[in-house]
Amino acid sequence: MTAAALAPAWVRPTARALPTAPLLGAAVAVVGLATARLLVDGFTSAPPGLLEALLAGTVVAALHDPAADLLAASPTGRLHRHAHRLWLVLPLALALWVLPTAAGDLVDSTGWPTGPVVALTATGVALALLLPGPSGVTLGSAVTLAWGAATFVVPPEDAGLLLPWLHHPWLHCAAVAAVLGLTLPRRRR
Amino acid sequence: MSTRVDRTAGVVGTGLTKRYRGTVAVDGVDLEVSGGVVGLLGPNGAGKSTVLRMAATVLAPDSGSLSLLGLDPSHHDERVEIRRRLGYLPQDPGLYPGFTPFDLVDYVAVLKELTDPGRRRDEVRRVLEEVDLADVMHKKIRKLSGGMRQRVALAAAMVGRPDLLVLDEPASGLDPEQRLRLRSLLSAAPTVLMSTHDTSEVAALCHRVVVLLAGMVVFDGTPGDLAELARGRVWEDDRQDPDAFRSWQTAEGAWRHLGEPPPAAGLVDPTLDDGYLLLARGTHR
Repeated sequence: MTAAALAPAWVRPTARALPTAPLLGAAVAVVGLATARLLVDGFTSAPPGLLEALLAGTVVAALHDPAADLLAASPTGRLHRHAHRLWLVLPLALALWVLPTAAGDLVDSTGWPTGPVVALTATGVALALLLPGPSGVTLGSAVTLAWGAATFVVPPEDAGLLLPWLHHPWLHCAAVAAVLGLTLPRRRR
Repeated sequence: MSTRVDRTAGVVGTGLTKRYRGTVAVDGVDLEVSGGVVGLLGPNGAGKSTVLRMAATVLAPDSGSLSLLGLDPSHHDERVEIRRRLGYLPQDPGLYPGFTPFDLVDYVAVLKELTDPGRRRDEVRRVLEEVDLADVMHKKIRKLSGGMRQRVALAAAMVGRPDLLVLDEPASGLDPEQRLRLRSLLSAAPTVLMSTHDTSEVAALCHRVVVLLAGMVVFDGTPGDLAELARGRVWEDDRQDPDAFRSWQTAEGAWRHLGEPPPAAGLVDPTLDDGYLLLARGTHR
């Protein structure tokens, strides 16, 4: 039996329904910058915050579903369909982030940390899940991009407070998970 | 409460109210629909789509009680059970342009938990044939006309032979032939609640009409009853009457008037349009 036959029936149509242009754009940006960093300093410097934001924003954008209204009364609800999309996109995004930086290990550096990009992605995804309709996805993407870009303007002495996703990423993830845990059960429609 | 669907129960709503940022979109609507095709008629912004979204389990009412197919949509498990037996066509159904009609309806069938691939394929073909899209079922949606796209969405709503169809302006973009086809399709469904702002659609499709104005039900009866509201208040003349509250020129060139007729006015039989216009202007007493 082929892998396609074994895959759940939703995998293929969900994958085809994903917006491919932002995903490809983010892939090119991450791989391109990672390659440049590898060549210049062997990943010894931190990635620009905007790159993390770009990847996180792209994951959130993958939740945009032009047929959401048509599918709104489906027994497979909105959160379930979002979960399908994340199930497909998150491994890709993580691989996109980890694989180029794994190359950094070959040149004896620690590579780029995964915590900040995970924390920023969690923030955007949470907003997309909590707010109804397309506004949630738009706001989720916008917040991740803006918060990532804020690394350029926030003074170093305030960064610990204003950029928790960068300086305390796993604590940030725990806070996001707690908010989701408390609010999502009431937003299952 | 049992989670078994009652196929004949349809929609029972009492005092349904919905507000958006302080604006009342639906104001204490009572609605009972069990069997047949019921049309929600009203101008833009009357609250038709909001009522339909509630009837489709997409939106929860702020207050009032709602039962669909004998179940309570505010409970998660019962809502899922309702959705298994419900078809919904939104007013602006976004589609995936890169999908074919077959792919899209198949995806909807997957989400509707039709798990057996063979049976699902047969069901997808059946609904696409019913909406007359068999010839283009493998053509990209981006290459289809607006009317064809509307029929793709309609086919998606009809997957699995739902017991309750909730359709927001289903005839939008359809040509006269397709409207006729829609009529026979809807007459075969157990219960249909549909919205429109076109009285000719109501006359052609619905056995009962509910008129919504400013979020409230102002009429509930047969299309014939709605037309009868204007009996004795419609007359025709060869010139415009400034005292009529509404006057328009017919295709034949005569002036048709609505309102309090002058003495010796040439009264004519009212139409559905006349009854609706009287209601919409608030002049019916």
